Amino acid sequence: MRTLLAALVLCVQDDAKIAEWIRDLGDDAIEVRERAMVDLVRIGRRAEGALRQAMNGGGEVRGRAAQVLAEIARGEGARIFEPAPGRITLRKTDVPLREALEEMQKQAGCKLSHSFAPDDEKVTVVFENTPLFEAVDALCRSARNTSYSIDCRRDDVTVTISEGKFADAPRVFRDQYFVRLDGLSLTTLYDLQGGEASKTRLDFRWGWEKGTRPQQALLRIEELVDDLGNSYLADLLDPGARPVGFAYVMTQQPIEWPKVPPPGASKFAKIRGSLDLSFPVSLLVFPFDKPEESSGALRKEEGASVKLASCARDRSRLRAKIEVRPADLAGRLEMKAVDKEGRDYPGRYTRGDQGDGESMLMSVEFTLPATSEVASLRFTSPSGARERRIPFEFKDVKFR
Amino acid sequence: MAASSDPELAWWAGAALADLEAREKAGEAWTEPLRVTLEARERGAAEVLRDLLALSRPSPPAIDLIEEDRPLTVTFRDAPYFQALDEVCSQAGVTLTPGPGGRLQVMRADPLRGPRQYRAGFAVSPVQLLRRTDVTFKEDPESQLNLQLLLRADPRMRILDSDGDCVLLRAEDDTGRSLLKPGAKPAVRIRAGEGTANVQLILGVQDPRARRIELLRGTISLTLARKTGEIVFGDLAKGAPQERESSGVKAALKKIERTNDEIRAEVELSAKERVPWPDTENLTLEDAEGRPFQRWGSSMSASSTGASYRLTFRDRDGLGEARKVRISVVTETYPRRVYFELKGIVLR
Repeated sequence: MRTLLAALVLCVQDDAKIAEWIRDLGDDAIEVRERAMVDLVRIGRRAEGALRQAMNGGGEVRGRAAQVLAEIARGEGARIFEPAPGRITLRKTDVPLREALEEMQKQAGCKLSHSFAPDDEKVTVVFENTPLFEAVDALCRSARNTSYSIDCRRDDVTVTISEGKFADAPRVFRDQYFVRLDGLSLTTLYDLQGGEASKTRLDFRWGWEKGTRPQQALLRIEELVDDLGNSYLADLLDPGARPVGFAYVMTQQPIEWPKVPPPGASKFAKIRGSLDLSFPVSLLVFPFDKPEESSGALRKEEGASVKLASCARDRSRLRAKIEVRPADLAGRLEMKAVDKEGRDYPGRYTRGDQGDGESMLMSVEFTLPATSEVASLRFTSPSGARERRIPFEFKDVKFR
Repeated sequence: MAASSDPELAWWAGAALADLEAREKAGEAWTEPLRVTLEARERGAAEVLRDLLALSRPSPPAIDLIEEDRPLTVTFRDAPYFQALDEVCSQAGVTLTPGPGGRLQVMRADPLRGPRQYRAGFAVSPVQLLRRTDVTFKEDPESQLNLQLLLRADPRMRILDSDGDCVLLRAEDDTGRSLLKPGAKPAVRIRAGEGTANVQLILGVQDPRARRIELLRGTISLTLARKTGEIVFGDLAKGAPQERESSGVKAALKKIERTNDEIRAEVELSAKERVPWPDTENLTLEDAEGRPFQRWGSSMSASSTGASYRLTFRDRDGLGEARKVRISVVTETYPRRVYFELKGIVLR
């Protein structure tokens, strides 16, 4: 009872404060206006109702309220699409590798799979709030003949520990991300018809922790020089447009150019660049309850819309036709059928046709148990973009 | 001499002995290496190629000329068959590649340079050379040369799809550095239908001053057909299943049907003892005069006790009624070791 009372008092106090900060948005002193904006952003969603009311006003207050609302949405987006990294805190001295891995598994937010962890393999680990990937890397590096791989597919992330020589590849870990130069190759084809063709290829791989999947990832190289001072930046072949879409994001990219370093060169003195990630700010949701009875229903969100043209069930298949607007929304939509027990089943495109020029007509199909009862169809799309840059600089990468 | 302490003498003596052994083991299947005596003045390349191919087998493959033909003049006196073929292709600026339906396509292309060996009915030549360095960050960077060789066999010999083998004895660049790489085993891929084998060699890298691979010497082991039997299905008009047996191999023509100019056949072979199953090239469909229909598509699945074939033929030449399905079955084999030596493969 005392707790509830305390919460109510806090709410009343917050409401009073929010009202005061909104008034301060129109204060004559710029310092007061800026301070009020910071306080409102900090309090977040609780100020949203009052801020929307303030939008009905005018002048300075209206403009600043809009800015605060956008900032709150961005902050919410960051919390949803880029949650805090998994951290490992572990102090163990001379314990079996298996035991250390099992302890890490309890703290990790993703699956740690190990096909190799003999009991006689002992490790000593001291992790204090260490990001997960960095901890896995340090663990494998310290163990004997132990390697690891990180597989980020859609929303699942699996770290696999296996037997094999540890690859001391150039790599960076930043919070919940890693960027790594997995390998490189130099090839020269001595053409028996005369002439020769050469190619250098750098294989980059990157990844993220579970729940942190961006909507786009692009690797940029800003500096690439060998130990003789030759720069290869101008030679890089255009890697082409990276696939954009929430359903699949690239986790590897070769960087290639049509020459090999001259015979005197033995290493890349510097490979500098960044992994540029883009996250949604919010998620647009287009839900259709009882879809088989909702043909013709239209859902709108932030200038985009999805119209359910038809929906029919044939035993274990549910087929629907939807019209999405604008047309490019089609490439970003994720789709699920949700049954009455709350289980969801992913859908897939089977056909797409141009609509009236600004819309796309899509045929989609869901496969689900014949006995399940569909409660709703949910189409979602990421909206907006918030950028995150993971810089890297690898020095003295030997190739000869 | 093959056991001589002089490596050169031992090598050439070994090669000569291998030829003698092959002649002995081949028995009646032995054919002298095909040689060509031919004079052509200002004749079209396709025409000369057709003449050469006609020397090699009774039913030479048809040629599809892709680009404009150009006249050439060549004179061969007792030249090895493949040397004559390569010379004509080189002068005409074309290459021959297997096309659909067993036809040969004549493609306009610069002929491959590099050394060739024409010996004892075989031609051996380099077709691709690649220098590769891989860095995995597990070991120090490792470099190697990947050299692909093509072996072509006299069309009258029948190479079998069994495992081939290659032993590389010497590989040196022009600075004297040995390019033999310990533990690197050559891979041999046989294409029985084409009468060729691809040999993939992994060599150590050359000295930075080297300009060519000075010497490459080794042997390629193959299995060739010594005795063959024929199984012939006639009376195809009814389309009824038929069965035959020859040299311990049972053959069943399960189905044959014609739709317009397309004829489909299904054949199954079985044997109590393991035999080399014929390649799809060895199953032919003929008209009343023995002229072959063009093979348009084929698939084959085989186990140790049987093989089944699905074949599609086309009547592109207006042959009319199909009369016979002919299957050439190998009943005895013999091993053949081919000695090869290539000099001066350019590295830049």
